[in-house]
Amino acid sequence: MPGRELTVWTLFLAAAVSVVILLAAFLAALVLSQRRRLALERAHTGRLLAAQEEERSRVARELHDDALQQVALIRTELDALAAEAEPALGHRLRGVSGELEELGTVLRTAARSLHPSAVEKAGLVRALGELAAEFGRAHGLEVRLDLPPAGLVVPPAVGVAAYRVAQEALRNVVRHAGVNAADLGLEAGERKVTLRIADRGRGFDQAAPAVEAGLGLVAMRQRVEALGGHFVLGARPGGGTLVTATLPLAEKP
Amino acid sequence: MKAPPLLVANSVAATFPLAAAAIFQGLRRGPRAWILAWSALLLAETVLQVHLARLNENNIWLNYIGDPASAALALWALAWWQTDALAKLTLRLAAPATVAAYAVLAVAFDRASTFSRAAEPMANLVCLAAAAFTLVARSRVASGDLLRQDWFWVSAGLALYTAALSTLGPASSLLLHGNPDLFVRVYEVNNALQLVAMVMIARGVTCPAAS
Repeated sequence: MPGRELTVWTLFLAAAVSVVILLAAFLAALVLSQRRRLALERAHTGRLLAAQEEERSRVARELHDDALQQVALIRTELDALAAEAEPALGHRLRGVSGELEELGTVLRTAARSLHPSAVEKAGLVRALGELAAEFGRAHGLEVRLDLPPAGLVVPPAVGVAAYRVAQEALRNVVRHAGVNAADLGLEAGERKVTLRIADRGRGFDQAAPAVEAGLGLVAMRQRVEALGGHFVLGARPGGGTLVTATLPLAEKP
Repeated sequence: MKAPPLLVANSVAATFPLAAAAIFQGLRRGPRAWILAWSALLLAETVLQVHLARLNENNIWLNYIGDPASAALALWALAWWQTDALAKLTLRLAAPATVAAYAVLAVAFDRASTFSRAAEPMANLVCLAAAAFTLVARSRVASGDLLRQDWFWVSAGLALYTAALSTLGPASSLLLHGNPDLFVRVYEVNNALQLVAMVMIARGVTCPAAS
């Protein structure tokens, strides 16, 4: 029965063509919808991070402009009182003044940690240099720098993101790597900057659960990806760690 | 009789994922290893079928051994890629359940001397559903580029492969004795789809992303 066989062939061919078209459309829809979802998530993360930075910046300004100024004022008055007071009282007042100086240092460090104003004022390169020096002073970590000339200009959001990633990665070196030296490099291209933080410490197993959350890697990744950049973590047990963040110099609208 | 080029190409298509694994060192524990076992099974089945055909002996009965085994391997591999524990368990249970259902349907409705009209389409539709589910479930939580994920390419390839096969058996059994020319054409269309499917699966094996 040739008619029946032709119908079978036609149906088979129609089914085959339908399968190809439907599968192609299905896969395209999956890819496109996932890309749209990721773009929305990144934009949302970007807004959250920007709001967080803004709030931190406000608190840091208040610390610097109000609290520190008042501490300085109180110290000046105490020093003046100490100069006029009897020796025993003067000695105690100078002691209080010294404690206030320490409080000032603590507040200044907290303000710097809350918002890296150095990135905006002195530029990313100088701010990274200061960050390295701070880790040397505070934690005895020798940070070997490989930075471009200080005149490098990057968008503020990119500068803050790079600084934050460097800060978190160096903090991880201090806490987990078990070494007292690390490398911090910044490479500037026409369209992107690449930040690398490496150590030769104990590394870790990337497949181990809770590693991402525990090391602040999620925050670093989100911060970089929110600006359209790429974050790559290279680590293995006993083989050190390499954090690479590539950030576009043109900010996403 | 000279074999059609697409039939020849499709006969070696099962080697694509294996070759990709050998070249790109894609063999790892977990789903990729099971997909490579699936490819190796298809290759062994094809080689045996070609051998039997050369001896002018019926080779269709081999489908009734290879098809349920390959369906079980595919389901087992897809189970590894599930992020949800219940979905993982469901697919793992589906593997032996599909083999059992295949046996029942084959005994009840099919004959070993000709193409399957019931058991093979059922097994392929189960695999197609599992592959489509994997694509949807994983893409909803994936944070990287889908085109660089092994599960994406392998699931898409399996979906195409099993979708093509699900209509092959019934069409072949209806055309085998009535119109050999159309029978060959059906196989050529199916071979072309399977060739593309194997390329997709091989692409998945070469993906750098760990599963």
